Amino acid sequence: MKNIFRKRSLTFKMIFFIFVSVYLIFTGIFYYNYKVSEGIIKKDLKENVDYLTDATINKVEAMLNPIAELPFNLARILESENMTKKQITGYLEIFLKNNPEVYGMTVSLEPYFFGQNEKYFCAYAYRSGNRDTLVILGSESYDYFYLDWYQIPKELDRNIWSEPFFDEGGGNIMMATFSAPLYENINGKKKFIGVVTADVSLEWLKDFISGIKIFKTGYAFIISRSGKMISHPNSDLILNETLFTISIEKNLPHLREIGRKMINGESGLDDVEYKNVASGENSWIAYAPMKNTGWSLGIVIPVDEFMADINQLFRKVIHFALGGSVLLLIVVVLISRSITKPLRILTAAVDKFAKGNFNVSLPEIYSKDEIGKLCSSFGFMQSELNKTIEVLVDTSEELRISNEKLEEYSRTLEIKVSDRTKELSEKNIELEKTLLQLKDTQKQLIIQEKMASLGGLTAGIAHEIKNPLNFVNNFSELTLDLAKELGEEIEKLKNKIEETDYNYINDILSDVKQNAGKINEHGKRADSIVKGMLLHSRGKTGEKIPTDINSLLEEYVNLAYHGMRAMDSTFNVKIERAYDDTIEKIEVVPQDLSRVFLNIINNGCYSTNEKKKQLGEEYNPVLKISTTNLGGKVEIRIRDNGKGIPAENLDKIFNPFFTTKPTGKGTGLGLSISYDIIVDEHKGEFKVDSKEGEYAEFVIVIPKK
Amino acid sequence: MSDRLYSISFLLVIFISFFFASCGKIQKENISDSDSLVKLNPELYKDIPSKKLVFIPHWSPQAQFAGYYAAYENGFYRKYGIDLVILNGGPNNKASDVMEKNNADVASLWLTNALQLIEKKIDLINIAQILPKSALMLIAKKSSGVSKIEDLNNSKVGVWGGDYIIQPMALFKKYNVNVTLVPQLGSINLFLLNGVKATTAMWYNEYNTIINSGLNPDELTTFFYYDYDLNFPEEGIYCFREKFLADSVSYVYFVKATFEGWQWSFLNPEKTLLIVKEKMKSANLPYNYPHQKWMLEKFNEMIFHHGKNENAGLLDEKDYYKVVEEMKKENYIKTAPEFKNFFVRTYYYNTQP
Repeated sequence: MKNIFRKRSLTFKMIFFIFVSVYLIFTGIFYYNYKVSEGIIKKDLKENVDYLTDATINKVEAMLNPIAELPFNLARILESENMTKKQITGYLEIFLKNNPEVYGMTVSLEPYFFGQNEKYFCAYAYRSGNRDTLVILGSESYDYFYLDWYQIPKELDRNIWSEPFFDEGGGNIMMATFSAPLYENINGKKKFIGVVTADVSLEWLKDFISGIKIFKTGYAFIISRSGKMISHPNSDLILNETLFTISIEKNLPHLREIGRKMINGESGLDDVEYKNVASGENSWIAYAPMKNTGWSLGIVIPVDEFMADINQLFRKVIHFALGGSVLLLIVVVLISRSITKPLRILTAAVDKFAKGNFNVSLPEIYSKDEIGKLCSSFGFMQSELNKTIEVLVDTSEELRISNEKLEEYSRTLEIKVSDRTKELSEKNIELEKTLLQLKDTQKQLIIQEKMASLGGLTAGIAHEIKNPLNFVNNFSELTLDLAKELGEEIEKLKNKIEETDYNYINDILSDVKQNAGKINEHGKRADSIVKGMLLHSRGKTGEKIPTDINSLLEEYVNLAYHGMRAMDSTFNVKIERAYDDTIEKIEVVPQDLSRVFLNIINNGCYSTNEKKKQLGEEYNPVLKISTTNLGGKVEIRIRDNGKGIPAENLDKIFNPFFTTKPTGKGTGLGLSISYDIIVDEHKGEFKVDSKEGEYAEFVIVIPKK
Repeated sequence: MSDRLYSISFLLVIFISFFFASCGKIQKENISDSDSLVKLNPELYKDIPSKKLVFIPHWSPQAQFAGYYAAYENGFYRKYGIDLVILNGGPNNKASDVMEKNNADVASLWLTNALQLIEKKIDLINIAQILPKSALMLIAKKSSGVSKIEDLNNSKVGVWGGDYIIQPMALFKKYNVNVTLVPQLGSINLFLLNGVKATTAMWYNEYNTIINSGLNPDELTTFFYYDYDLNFPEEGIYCFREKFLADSVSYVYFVKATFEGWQWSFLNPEKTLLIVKEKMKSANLPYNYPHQKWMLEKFNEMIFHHGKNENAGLLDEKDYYKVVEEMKKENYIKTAPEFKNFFVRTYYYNTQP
């Protein structure tokens, strides 16, 4: 609800609340006024109705009561005398004659009152046209003992008006019978002997009650003790309907309640409105008992008619109220619009203002009320804001320019820095490269210098040693030849000299031969060393020819293996080969390269053999040979699981004369020469990796061209 | 009459009953085709000669006999070849008297009426039981302190004369209640004025009159005789055995048309009540719509159980002998025919309305 109103316009709220308030006040006043007026009218009505019912009942009873007295009086007269049939009929005729309002009278007696032969005695005097007639009734088909007019006073032991009935014999007119019991006094005790009755036409009652009109449609009716309609403007209802059957037929349950009150002898004005059966209008019903007959009078008051004046007045009031409401609505709408119009304009202006149109023109409101003040306040705020905005715009422009400059500077700075950084990093890379190259060159230079100096040294030494060595070798050979000749000569002289001498000379000769042989042998060895040294230093390069590296390697692996086997039959090694078949023939100097392979494989075999000797059967020597095509290069790896190379020796193994083999077993030139062959001659790389006691691996990388 | 002749005519009756029970068709009220309400094949009855029958209902015109009036007004009897005359019954023209004088051919009688007539050598047979249940009852006011039969001890009770007194007598004997019987002629005024503590009433008639005189149902104590093992089947259709044997077909048609009239009247209550109203007006009787409507509704409950009773028209053998026993006890009759010689079933309910 709150939300609903929150969303509504001020105009709506004003109209709604003013209207609701006015409506409630109006309704309250109207209702109060109506109720009070209604109360006054109803009070008057009650008084009038009470008067009307009293008057009506009095009049009806004034008509009926004298009739009721007749049977009663006749009964008393008969009781006081000895009843004879003649007496009875005589009295009946007199009574009927003297009482023109009576239609007929009976004296009816109990069975066999006049003897065993006469069960029935019912003397009936009645008017028939202009004549009075008397008949004696009673037969099996007219068993009057059991008829209400006889039986009820008998059983109730009192006078009673019967339920009205249509008399078929008397022209079908409605009648009622008053019955008075007749007694016989036997020893001071009353004994019922019959009934005296008077029939009276109720046609006058019908006319009388029909004559009662209350406004246009109001009417009176009478019901009997059993609710039977005795008098009603609608003659069809008379004696055919009870108030209770009407209640069912017209579906008016409330009517049954009214009827019950009426037959119980109550009186009242029923407040609850119900539809008048005759007119269909809303009606009230007033009722009062008719004590002597046990009937009840009802008066139907057409409320609408009775209240017509007041209703008309209130209808007018409602019309005025409605007209006033419309007027009020127009006034409220106009006022609220006059209040809210500048507000709406101002709101629209403020909306535009809020959207950035700071120069929007404000409505011109000259009134000095709150709206006018609000407007001028807003105008002031607008001008102040505009000033501030101008300052802000200037400052903002300055700022913008500064900002642009800064941005430009910042942008160029970045480019500069990045350029410089790029240059620097390029330089740096170049420098690093140069440094690496330098380091490489330096290393090369060191090695070359070392090698060159060593080479030069060895060449010099070799040259100097070569000559004396030639002498040693040549003369030792000559000595051997001479010793051989001497031996032959001594053989010739064997018979000439003593045997001991001969043997002694032979011994000396053999020693000479042996010595000379040794000299020759070692001389030759020295010669070969010198030759190698010379070869080393000379830097001589062979002719490169296309060579299948895998085949070459395999040839020398086999050679080395069988060589080792020839020297030591216990030697064995498992060779694992992994040749890369994609390697085409490459340009190498095969005789030099084969030296390198042989060198390395020999070293490996030797190393594993040594380890085998140390560890025995537990150890399984393995030699792994592999080649790999690296595109422009070929990599050859030769790995053994022998003793390995101690870390401290790793940088020395390529030095000439460095060897760990026992004296006489190696020259210490093998790897040095191999290094020259790979690095210098073939422009390749030659690296070693090892872990002492576990493995040693040589890696050779040779460019294909 | 020989047993053989009786058996043959009985079988004939059964056959005809079945034959025609499947033919009729009753139309409902909202269909405004009034004259051809029964779609019966004319071929089936064209050869049957028109037979004059005089019928007397056992009371004056009211909705109690709506079935006969409706059948008559709709021409059901005519269609079955019966030229029917309906007499007005009532206190001054009792059906039993009329039958005794042979002034009618067929009558609606209570079983007790019929048994008494048979006792008087009027050879009547029951050819259809209309009310299988006793609608007779006693009504007392709760305000008079009556809630059970014993509460009526030492008080006056309104009863109706003639056969109507058999059931109350039997009842009070059975409960050993001492009451003063006040014979009445159907008026409830003495009861309303507290002249009797209880009064005799018919469920479909006086009970409702009392209600329509301002007493509420919850203010009344009611005693239905069938609740006290005194179910006296009431209205049945009776005719003379001899006439029946001579022309059983006409009587079967009469019963057939009558039940069709009842079916029609329950389907067309408003039209039926208009017929009843006319009959009552012509007999100079006050017509009361709510009362006659009530009566018609009660008959619907009792005859067809709202159209669902396959036993419609059947007299219960046990009830028959119960009535015989009670009547003998009260010396109303000394002898009674055997059930099989008393009741001939001519109506079989198999036509769904």
